Amino acid sequence: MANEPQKSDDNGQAAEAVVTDDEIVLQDQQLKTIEDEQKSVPLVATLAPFSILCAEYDNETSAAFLSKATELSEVYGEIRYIRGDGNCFYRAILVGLIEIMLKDRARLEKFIASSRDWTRTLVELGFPDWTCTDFCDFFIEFLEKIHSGVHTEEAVYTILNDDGSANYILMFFRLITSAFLKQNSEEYAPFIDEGMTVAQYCEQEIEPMWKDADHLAINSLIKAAGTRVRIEYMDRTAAPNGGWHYDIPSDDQQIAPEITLLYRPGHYDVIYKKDSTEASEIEN
Amino acid sequence: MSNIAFNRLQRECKEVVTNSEISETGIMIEILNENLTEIKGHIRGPPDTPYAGGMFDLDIKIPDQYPFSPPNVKFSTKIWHPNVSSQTGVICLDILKDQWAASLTLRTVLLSIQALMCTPEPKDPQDAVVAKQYMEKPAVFKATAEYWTTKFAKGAVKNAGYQALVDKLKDMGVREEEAVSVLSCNNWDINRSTVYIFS
Repeated sequence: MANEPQKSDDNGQAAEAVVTDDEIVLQDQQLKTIEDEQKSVPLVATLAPFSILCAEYDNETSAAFLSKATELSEVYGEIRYIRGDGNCFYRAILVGLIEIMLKDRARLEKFIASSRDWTRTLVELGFPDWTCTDFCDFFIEFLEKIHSGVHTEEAVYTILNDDGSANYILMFFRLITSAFLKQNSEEYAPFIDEGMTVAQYCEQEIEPMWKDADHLAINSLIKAAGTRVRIEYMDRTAAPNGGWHYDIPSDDQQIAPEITLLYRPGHYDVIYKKDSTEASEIEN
Repeated sequence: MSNIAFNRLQRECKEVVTNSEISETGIMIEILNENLTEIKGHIRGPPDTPYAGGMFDLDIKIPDQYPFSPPNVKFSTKIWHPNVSSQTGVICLDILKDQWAASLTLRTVLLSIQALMCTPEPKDPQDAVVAKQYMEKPAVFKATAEYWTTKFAKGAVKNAGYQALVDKLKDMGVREEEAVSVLSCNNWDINRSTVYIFS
């Protein structure tokens, strides 16, 4: 009717910024297709033998990846797929830590205490009142129920696969990543694109759900969660140090990482070393 | 929606409804269904704006993924504003799109929309015609927005001149809403509006 068709005649430049209803419908459909594809993988899959990764590649079409996967299969025995919904890095760290804490009670207690500290830190840093602390409270309650035995290991994985609860827990990890960056904003400001403050970066890249973690987010979460992570790369050009793997924090190489992730372009899964201690290290 | 999201939403609704400063903030909600997925929002037109004196209604739909996806919010009361479609009520506001954060609430959303009513962002328009008028003919924009407020948002101010033009088009058999819309888009030029409608 009246003004919709005029937009393009009258003000071409402004009209470009205007999204028509048809475009919104099309966008929604595309997003729905992507979402359906993503949901074919569970949020957190069960452990699978590492050979399943090799089976993903073909000697003719992806020889380089097949050879790398085969090489990794000498060292790594199992893989746990994580859904590629933009949260995979955060979720992989969450799962890795929960696995450790299911076996290590002292670590669990320590993590509950540090999560309480983070809740206070968030409030001090001025994160919006109860909505943020809600995520913390939910996560701490989840950990406490593991501690008291209310949540069995089976229940834990059920919760980690239930969209509603799992994303509430995941949000805690995004929040502490953001808080860590804001706490150390002077140190990290130089790594953020010009014209953006650390706080803006956090609000646009870290805090919104389904946004991929970049190198800054990866570093911050690992430090905030007090863990040590090795990332194995299928493609050496993707590694920050140009090697086949990269350890964070990178300053104490002598301490073994406790979580290992496999990076394939745009995605992280959790991988596990074979039990045998003699499995040889892959040369960098 | 998961239980935990439902509980949170209940708390968010309470936050708006029981807020004691409601007479000062001018925002209110009405819950339309039990599972809280459909909510009606009300914003009183902020003073010292063309929307003063009006009461604007909004349709709020809560998606399954809430609070990780933003609520779907649009004006159901027609409003003349650069960042709102004068046809559909769709709002162009960053926090309702890519700047949404799970820490935001219905209260912060309504307050942000109210702030947008005070301070339009014509460089990031939803309705390009309105935005153009806002920048090029601010006086006409102000009078038009005021007229829309009285017409559609129960405002009290009357603009007899504009009403006469609308009535003229109505006499020619044009629906009132269309007459208002076409005149507004054509800076209240009756000749251009007639040509637009009848050619």
